[in-house]
Amino acid sequence: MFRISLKASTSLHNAARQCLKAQAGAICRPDIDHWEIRKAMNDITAEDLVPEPRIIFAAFKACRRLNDYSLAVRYLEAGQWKCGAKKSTIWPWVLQEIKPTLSELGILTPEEMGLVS
Amino acid sequence: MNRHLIRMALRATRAPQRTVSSSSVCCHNVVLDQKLRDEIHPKIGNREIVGFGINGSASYVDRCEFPCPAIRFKETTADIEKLREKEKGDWKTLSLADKKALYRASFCQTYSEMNAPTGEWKVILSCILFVLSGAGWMLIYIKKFVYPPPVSTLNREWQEQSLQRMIDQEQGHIRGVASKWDYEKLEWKK
Repeated sequence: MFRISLKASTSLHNAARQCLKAQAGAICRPDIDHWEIRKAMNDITAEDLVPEPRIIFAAFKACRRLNDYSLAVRYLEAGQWKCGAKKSTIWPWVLQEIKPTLSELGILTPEEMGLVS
Repeated sequence: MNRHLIRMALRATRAPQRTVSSSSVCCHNVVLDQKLRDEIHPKIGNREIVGFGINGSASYVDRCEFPCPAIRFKETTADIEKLREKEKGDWKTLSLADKKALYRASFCQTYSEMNAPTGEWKVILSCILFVLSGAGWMLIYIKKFVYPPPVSTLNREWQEQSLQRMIDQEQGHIRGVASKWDYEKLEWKK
């Protein structure tokens, strides 16, 4: 019984990974539009994970292509919220990884914008 | 309304058409036919539909789990149009006020505003305490004005005499009251 449940959990894990790859891949498409970037962001936020820096990069690139600044900031806020209780351990690392892209594109974090009270 | 946006989404996701064309991404890709436009837009006004949202209906909701609602928050005005033109350029040229204005044009509340404490617990606690105190007042009233006087057998003197009679009659002399009384020393057994 233990072996069966172990197999089930690994296959579930794999399925989740596949789903995430598909969604991350969806974001990386160069011809993405408003509808799809938002659907992908909502779906990735619905998963039980903090978005990795590579997903955030792809989201920023897509926002830049679509000329939507506020969406980038919104996704940063969503990423912070996904950290949950562990925000102080996870988020500084994520921020450090994405800082070059932030300064390159001129995106301010929600704290810098004064949106976080 | 859900099925309309889902149908729209299916139209928008017809990838082969898009990958064939080499034109740049168009911003207004959510194209509604006249029937849908007549149905949806009177309810949402001049606001741009931008995505699927939570469930496919063209409404605005602030939810932590869904960062991107289906429509922008504010209606498209001339000022916002100007900002959007500016947004097409380098974002470093946008001032802080511009960036804030763009955010508020698309979204109503920030995440911290969504999650801010409302103080509702004070209202709830005060209501509970109010009801409990009301119950306390009712208790006092009923005891004073409603209940008949307590029976005469409930006072201390009567109870002591009762106990004395039980001992005199040796009631419960095996395991009961009298078994705990020492008849020689005339006191309770230790």
